[in-house]
Amino acid sequence: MRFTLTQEQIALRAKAAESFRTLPAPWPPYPGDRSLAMPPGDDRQEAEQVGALIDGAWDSEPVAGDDRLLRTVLVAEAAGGSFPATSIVELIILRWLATRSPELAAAMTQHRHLAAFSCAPHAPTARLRRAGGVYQLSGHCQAIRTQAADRVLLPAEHNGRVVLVSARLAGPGVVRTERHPVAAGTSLLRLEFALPRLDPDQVIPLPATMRSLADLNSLGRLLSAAELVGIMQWALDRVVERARTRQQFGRPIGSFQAVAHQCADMLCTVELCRSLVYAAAARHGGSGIPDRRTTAQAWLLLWHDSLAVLTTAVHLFGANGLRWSEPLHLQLRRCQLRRQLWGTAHEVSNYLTEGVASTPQH
Amino acid sequence: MDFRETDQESRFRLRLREWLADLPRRWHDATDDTDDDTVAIRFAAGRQWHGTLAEGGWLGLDWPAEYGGRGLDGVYQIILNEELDAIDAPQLATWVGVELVGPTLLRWGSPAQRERYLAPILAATEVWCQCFSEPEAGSDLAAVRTTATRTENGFVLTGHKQWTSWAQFAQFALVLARTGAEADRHRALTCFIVPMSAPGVRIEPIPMLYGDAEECDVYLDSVHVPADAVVGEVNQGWPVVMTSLTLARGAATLGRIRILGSRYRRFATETVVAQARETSHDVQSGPMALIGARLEALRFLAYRKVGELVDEGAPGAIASTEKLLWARLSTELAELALDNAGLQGVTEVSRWGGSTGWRRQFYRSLANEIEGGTNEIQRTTIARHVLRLPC
Repeated sequence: MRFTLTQEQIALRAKAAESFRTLPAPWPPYPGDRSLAMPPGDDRQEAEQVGALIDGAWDSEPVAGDDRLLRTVLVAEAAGGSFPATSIVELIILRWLATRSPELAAAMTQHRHLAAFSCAPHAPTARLRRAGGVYQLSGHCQAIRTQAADRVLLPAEHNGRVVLVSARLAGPGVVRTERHPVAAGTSLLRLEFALPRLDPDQVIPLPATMRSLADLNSLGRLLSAAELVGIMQWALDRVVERARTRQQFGRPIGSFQAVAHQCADMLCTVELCRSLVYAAAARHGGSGIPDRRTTAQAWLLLWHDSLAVLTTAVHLFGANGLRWSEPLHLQLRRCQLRRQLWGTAHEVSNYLTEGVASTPQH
Repeated sequence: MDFRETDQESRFRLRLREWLADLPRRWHDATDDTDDDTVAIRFAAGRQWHGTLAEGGWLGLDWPAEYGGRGLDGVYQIILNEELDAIDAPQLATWVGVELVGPTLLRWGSPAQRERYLAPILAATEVWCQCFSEPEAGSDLAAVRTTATRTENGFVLTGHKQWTSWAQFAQFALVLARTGAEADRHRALTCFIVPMSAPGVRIEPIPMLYGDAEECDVYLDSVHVPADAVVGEVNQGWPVVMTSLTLARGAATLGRIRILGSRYRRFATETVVAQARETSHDVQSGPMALIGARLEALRFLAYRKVGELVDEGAPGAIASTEKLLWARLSTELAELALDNAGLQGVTEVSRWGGSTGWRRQFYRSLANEIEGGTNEIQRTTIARHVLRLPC
């Protein structure tokens, strides 16, 4: 057994970080200046680079203990520590699905998709029915939008089963509302479907290797947790640099115990969270799906601890941390969004406390 | 990071599991130390368990074979702890000897010292304690005042050591004393092996807020030791002590995380039972699940720490975080469980009059945040040496 990253894995994480922007470009507009809307970023180059890093990992069938899931998690962590133009978690989810379904791969080749799985991760909020040989979609979904797209991939309930639907983002029967900016260049899109007609190739069965939405949920949770680790590490690095250089009372503020100790606590939190995320990524039983329980624990830990790390970082930056021009608040918003996806703390806590009294099986 | 076991690791685990399954289960459970047992009973039980494990050859795994070990790396210590966790085995009361003093002697002891002391440490036939802290030298250990004055054939030690764990049961102590000027601080310290039965040694257990006394005052009143009682070199005691303190942050921490896990499961069991009987306060699943998640994360952080030790031969940056996280988590768990126990929890006493149950655990956890390096010292160490802040 091995409990540290290999040099290759560390290099992968560093290479992934180089694929992403180190600062948002363009800078999100200040709400007091003009309209909040921002044109979606062009992430095609970034998507290709990410694809090059992770696509090969999923070409063959997963084997218990191989590191493809860990490598994917490392890419998500690297994304958290930078400002990618796209939502990396959702990008990875779509690519992961495409490797498991030729129909999905074909649909994604023809159209750019958003992924609408994270906001209602358990049961579909959309329903599909077939009437007179025609598919019709009702219900709603929510998706994170960071780049231009013309379709959304969402789960829908159909005759007691879950299927995937590649739905248009606009057109007859689609009502669309958008809240932005949720974070730099990111908006939350809500789509209401009032029975738009769907072509047969827009309805795609779940990949055969996917037992249920719970599998996808576990993957989404783990990747989100990894991204939050990256966000926290970025904040810690910024704060430490600030503590070393910012001078008050004739010395660096990091020389004051009150500041130094808060930095130390941040490091402890980051390493604790990182440990569980990596463990969840290393624990897949050959399916490539992370262990459900460990992933849920990682998600809950990040849900609880990530916001405190980001707010502490803002605090330690003093008044300058509150400037719109300081990227800290963008990471804070990103953290706030990311921790609200893929479930709720209440539901995850209830799941985890079932059967917790039994002696552990290592 | 790869959790797949090698063939050798699997065979080790299987043999250990079979051996544990064959044991008659007469030891105290890991969480039994809160009820009717006095310190003496707990210590005796822990020592007996140590002896059992030692007879089976499951201690000193990383010690050289010539001294009774197996020369295995830290991964095997992880496997051992996982299997002990699966049966809720107790912690070793004699862990200071096998996990701190023994490895310290392996690093710094003379061949004669290793020959004389290591086997009895491993077999638990001789128990050790560490006499480092003093009333005026706690966090600032370099301020030690106990003197060791050279004589014709050895040294005479005089001073007052404090907070020595299990001294009342120990046969030997590793004592840190001053062999030079106070102004030279850590550069004028020497480590000695001192028999606890030596004339001039007086031990007084310190009653604590939880009603028993694991820690002791140790008074050294002109205690004579021979010249070969020096561990390492004269005035080179600081690196010896640092070895021990570093070890306390190494694989030795797996045991205490395991015990914390046992306590968490006990709390979860109590909660389920109480809720079924409708006698519990409403423990929200949120805090309980969060502590469970933290515990699991801490376990894997400790594994990463062991991994760094195996890969690089020395603890890495993560090592500094574990003790702080463990201490805080032990308090969080005790607080939550004590809240859940309500009025009964804060008023219950054991047969022998001390605190029991979660109240004892809560008080004990306050000590966890002090001993082995206070939370503040840990934070300063992290800030200074890991984050390289100018503090």
